[in-house]
This record gives sequence, structure tokens and C-alpha cells, in this order.
Amino acid sequence: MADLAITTQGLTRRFGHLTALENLDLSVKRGSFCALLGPNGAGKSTTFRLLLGLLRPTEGEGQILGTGLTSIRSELFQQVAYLADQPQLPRHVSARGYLAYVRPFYRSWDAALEQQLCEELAVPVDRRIATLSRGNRQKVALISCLAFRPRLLLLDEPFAGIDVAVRDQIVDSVLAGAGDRAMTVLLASHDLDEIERLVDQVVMLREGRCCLQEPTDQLLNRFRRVFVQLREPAATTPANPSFSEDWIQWRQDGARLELVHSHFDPARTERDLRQQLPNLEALSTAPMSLRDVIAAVSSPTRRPAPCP
Amino acid sequence: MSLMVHQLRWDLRAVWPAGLVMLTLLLAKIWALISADDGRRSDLLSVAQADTYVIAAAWLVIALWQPMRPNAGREPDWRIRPLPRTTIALAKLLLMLLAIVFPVHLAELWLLRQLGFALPPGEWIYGVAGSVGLICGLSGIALLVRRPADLIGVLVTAGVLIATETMLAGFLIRTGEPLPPEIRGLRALTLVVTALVVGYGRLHNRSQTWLWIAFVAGLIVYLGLRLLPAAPSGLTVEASVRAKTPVLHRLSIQLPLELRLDPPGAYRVSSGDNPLLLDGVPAKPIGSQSAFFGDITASLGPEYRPTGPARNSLRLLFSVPPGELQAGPVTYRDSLRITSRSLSVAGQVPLKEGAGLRTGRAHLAVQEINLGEGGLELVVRVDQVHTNLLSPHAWRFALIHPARREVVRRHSTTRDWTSQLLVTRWHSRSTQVLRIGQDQMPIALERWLEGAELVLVSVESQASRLVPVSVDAFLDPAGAP
Repeated sequence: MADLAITTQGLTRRFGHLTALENLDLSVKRGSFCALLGPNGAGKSTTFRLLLGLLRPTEGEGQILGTGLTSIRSELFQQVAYLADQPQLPRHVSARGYLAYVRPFYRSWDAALEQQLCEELAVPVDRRIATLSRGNRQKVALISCLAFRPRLLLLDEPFAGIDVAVRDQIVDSVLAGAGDRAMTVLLASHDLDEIERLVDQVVMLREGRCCLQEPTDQLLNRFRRVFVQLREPAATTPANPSFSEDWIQWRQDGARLELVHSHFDPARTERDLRQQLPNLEALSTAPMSLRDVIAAVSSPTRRPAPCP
Repeated sequence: MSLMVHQLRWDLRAVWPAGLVMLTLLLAKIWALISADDGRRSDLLSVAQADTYVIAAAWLVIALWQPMRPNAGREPDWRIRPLPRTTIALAKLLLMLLAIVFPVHLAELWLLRQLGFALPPGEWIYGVAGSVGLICGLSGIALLVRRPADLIGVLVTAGVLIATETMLAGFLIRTGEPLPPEIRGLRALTLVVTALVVGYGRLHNRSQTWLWIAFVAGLIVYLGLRLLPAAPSGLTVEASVRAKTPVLHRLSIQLPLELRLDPPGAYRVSSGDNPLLLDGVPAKPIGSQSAFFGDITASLGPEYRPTGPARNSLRLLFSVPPGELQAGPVTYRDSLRITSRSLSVAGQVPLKEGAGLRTGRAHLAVQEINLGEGGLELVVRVDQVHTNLLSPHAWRFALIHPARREVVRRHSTTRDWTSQLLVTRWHSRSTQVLRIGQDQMPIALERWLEGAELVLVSVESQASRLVPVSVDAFLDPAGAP
């Protein structure tokens, strides 16, 4: 328990008849980089708000940095930073003025780090926030989240509406160094392109329910793209139900099939395939990127792979 | 402490330029109004007065709303900052006190002193305590709220309520007079608007029990103070009321009531709100009618005597019901409120144009003396410090002749309410016209005026009681004048 930055048990939030989040059991290790994935309305922002104590859970409980979600006090935010998807910054002050406003709130504010981040991200600190581009505003908000060296950083869609150059800048300058700062990061996003190499753990929500929660390396080992060459084109609908649960997202082009196996094991994968496809001539496998795994799991045409 | 000062400085930094501009404009307008020596109704002054309140309202809105940023609303951005709620609440509270108490109370106090008025300490304390108490009370309740959005919501609500109430009070205050129903309605409207503000906030939040408890508590206090009619306070006066025959005029039905009040003294008699029933059809009262019974004779000394008989009647006015008016029985059931008044002489000055009389609470200036065939028309400007529950003074003037030991009693005085200029929340300026007919004096009016003096009279309301009125009469439209 002590090595967990975030833990929830059966966390549920309902708004009237709408269940925004249902029975979430979440565990995020300290110092890890966890991606919270899911389509719009999956419950990502609700999860953040529950973790920050901005919403009270309808059912269930949880802790961040050892503090119960229902007993969060302002003192905890000396160690926790949150970047909303659309941060509401005061428009009438400069970025420098805003940072000066926030600075006294934090005992651990690192002015040198603030300066360094401003320079690395090339923030025009003397311009009024109202005149800054969305990307620059996002950078200012991010600096205000990082300069006090939080132990836990929650980022809700930090790249929404941000151009690629700024994304790369933020990822390279800021997020890549999170591990060095012993910071736990929970990041919600639609897109994993930029952070794939950083992510230690993936949690996927769909319609308020967790449909995937696994360390990244384990996930990447478990999923394989499988290419099958048949002797002749044939109907390939598998009769075995176990086949349909582990095997997802296939594509057929005459005698050639492309599948994804969600529980890859070289021997078992080949044995399953030969049982289901007697006219199999040859097969080959290829590792998948995290983005492809998530796309396969999210495929609306097939049932997602269950959490192990 | 340092965080609170930091937050306060941040908020002040956001508003001070606007505040400075507004305050400068406000003071400039007030000085312009004071220096304008126009005793009569002036469109220019009316416009200037309206401008003053627009400026004051704008300042309050800016002062109250602007500093909520970046902390306003329900954005989580500031709620996840390690700023204790009590700290931010106290900082916002201090800001509101600065924004409200300074311009509304301290600036006016200073201004009044500059003008030579001595505002009673109780008056000022009452005014400040009213504002501060309401803010602190609501904020105190709000501090129990876990959710900061509720806290800010309550603070803003309190601020809006006070700002609106202050503005309305500026427009609507009437010294010593009961508030007419439409003004009570406006006060209620203020509360409804406030409720809508809270309701709008609620739409965007989950249930906010404490917010509603705070709001309802504030509402009850406000209603209790402002809307409940004053209860009778045990006046021992024998009153007999006799109704005369109702009279039909073109636009109204007049019901004259003849009163005998014992012991003799100074009384204000005001009518109620009940309609008159004409053959069962209700005729609504036209406003609240009131009349002053008595004079300052007793205050001046036993040797003084009035120049005419005492007033003994009150005319109630009712609107004529729609449709053709038929002769029919008239029924009227209501109560008259009789309030005893304590009169005292605050000063006197020989009657001549340009003469003035100044006390700490009121200034009186004779502007015009027009003596013609119709009689005397005397135009007097009265500046006065307004009163409240703690010091219920009002100011009147009377015409006396010290040598003859006479007090003018039967005269008509009109106060043009539209000309009343509220220079500050406490200080108003009005023009009053006194008319005396040639036949109302024991000697020739011109000669009588040679030794006349103007007396400034302080009027203080004391105990009151309700006297039932029951009238059963008959109205014949054919007998109308």
C-alpha cells in the first residue's frame, strides 16, 4: 500500500440516473507514469475530480498519497498538481504575474525550476495571458503545476488543441523528466502517440467502467499481431468460443488473414490457430505498439480483451 | 496571515484602477451636486444624480466581481491550490469590507463632516454594522461549508444583495415616512434577483444545502428588518373617528374622516391599505394618506398660540372602480396608525431671502419669499441627515412671530419629492413650499411677516397604536360636485 500513489476500491459516481464511473479499482505505483485512456464520456474527468476531492464518490473509497478521498484538505495540494483540460487562468495578468501569484502558496516552490521551465518552453512571460495562444497558456498552467515539484501530477487531456510542436516540447522538456523527479503522473488522453515511450501503466475506461488495467510491458508482451496465410480462401468464422475472446480485430484478404492475439504465447498461439484453421499454411507474428493495442481493444466490432 | 495579505493584494491590484476612476467620478459628482445651488427641480441635477448612482453601482459591481478572478466560479483550478478556505474567505471578506464600507460609509462620513453635518455615532455604527454584520454573518455560515464554490457563492450573493440594497436605499429612502408598497415590492424584487443568482449557481453544482440555509437565513433577516410592518408600541391616546359623507370626484372617491385625539399633542395619522367597498365593488386606496395633527406651540412655550384652528380631518382617497358608477352603499373597514411625535426647536432665524440655519443634522435656507394677492409662497431648501431605527429624527420647519407669540398653523406645505436630491446615502436635499392665504392670519399678512421667524423643528417618532375605522355610508354620484 505504501508504494501506491493512487488506490481506489469500487469507486463509483452517479449523477442522478447517469453513472459516470462504476466500480473503479485503480492502483498506481509511486513514481510511475500511468495513462488513463478512453473515449469522450468514458469517465476520465470524473475520475480526476473524484481523486482530487472535487466530487464525492457515490460509492467506494480511495486514497491519494495516503490520504482518503473524502478527507482531502488544502495541505495535500502542496504535493499534488492538477492540470485541467482547459485551465482557467486570469486573463488580465502576465504569465509572470500569475506565477508570482501562485508562488507563495507553495512551500516547495522552486524558483530556479520555474525559470528553467519558462526558458525551455519559451513562454513569453511578460505578455498578458489573454494575448497568449492556447498552447502558451497551457505551458503557463503546466509550469505552475510543476514548479513546486509535486509528488503527484494529474493531467487531464493536456494536449487537446495543442499543435504537434508544443506537444513534443512539453513531452521532451517536462514529462520525460518526471521519473527523475520521483513524480507520479496520471495522464488522461485520447492519443498515446507522444507519451507511449513514457507510460508504465495503462488504464482504459469505457462507459464508466474499467476495461483494461495493466503495466505497459506486460500489455505489449501479451498482444501480438498475427499474420496467417491459408492454403486457399475460406470462411474463417471460428467455431470455438475461446478463439473469439482471445482473438480480436481480424482482417481477411482472400487467403491472407491478419489478427490480434490478446494472450500471446508462441506455442499456444500456433496451436490455437491450427485447431481453428486446419488449412493454415504459414503464420508470422509482429509486436504491436501501445497505440495499436489500444486501438485493437477499442475496436467496436469485437469484444475487448478482459483484464487479466 | 501572509497568504491572506497576498490574496488581498492580488485582488486589490485587480480592481484599484477601476476603483480609483469610479471613486473620483463619484466624488466629483457628489461635489457637483452639493455645489449646485438650485432649490427647485432641475433636470440637470436629476441626470447628475442618476449618473452618481450608476457610477456607484458600477464600482460595487467591479469591486465585488472582479476580484473573484481567478478564483471565481466552479473551476477546479484554484480549488486544488493549497490555500486554506478560511484564508481565502477572510481575504475576500476584507476586500468586500474595503469595497463596501469605504465608499459607502467612510467616504460619506467624511463628506458629511466636510459639509458641516454631524452624523450621530449611533447612526454611523448602525449603518456600518448593518453592512458588515450581514457580510460576516453569511460568511460565517459559509465558512462551515466544505465546498469553496459554496463559500464564494454565498459571499457574492451577500455582496450583490448589499450592493443592490444600498443602491435602492439611495434611490428610495424617505425620511420619517413609511415605505410605500411599491418600494417594499422593489426590495422584495432585489431578493428575488438574488435568489435567481443563487439558483443559477446551483444549476451548475450539486446540492448545496449550506448555501441555501445561508441564503434563507439572510432572506429572513432581510425580510424581518425591511418588510414586516412596525408593530404598535403602546401609545395611550384616546381617538374617536367619525366619517363624513363620501364625495365623488372625477378620478377619486374621497372619504373624509374627522378625528379627535386626546390628550392634545403632535401626531401623525396614516391610513391603511384596505379597499373601500362601493356596493360590494372594491375601490383601491390611492397611496397611503397621512396627516400631521398638532403643532410646535407647546415646544415654544405656553405663551404661544396657533393662528388658526387645529387640523382635525384626514381625507382618504380611493380610485373610482371601472364602469358606470351607480349610487350605492359604501363600506370601509381598516385601521389608522396614530404615531405620537415629539417636537423640539433646533433653531430659528429671521425670515428673509437668503437666510439660513445650520445644525449638525439639518441645514435650512430661505430661497424665495413671494408675497402676492393670493398670499405667501415661501420656498425653503432643507438639507438633512437621514434617520434610521436608532435615531428616528425628521426635520420640518414652521413660521412663528415671536413678538406676537403666534405660530402659523393652518397652511399647506408641499414637498416636491421629485426634487429631492439624495446627495449621499445619508444626506438629502429637498425643496419645500409653504403657502399661506391672506385670510388665514389674524392681521394683514404683510405686516405679520415683518417680525416673522423661521423655526427648524426636529420631529421624532415615538409610540404608536392602531385605531379601527368602520364606515357605513351611502354614495350618490348624482350629488357629486
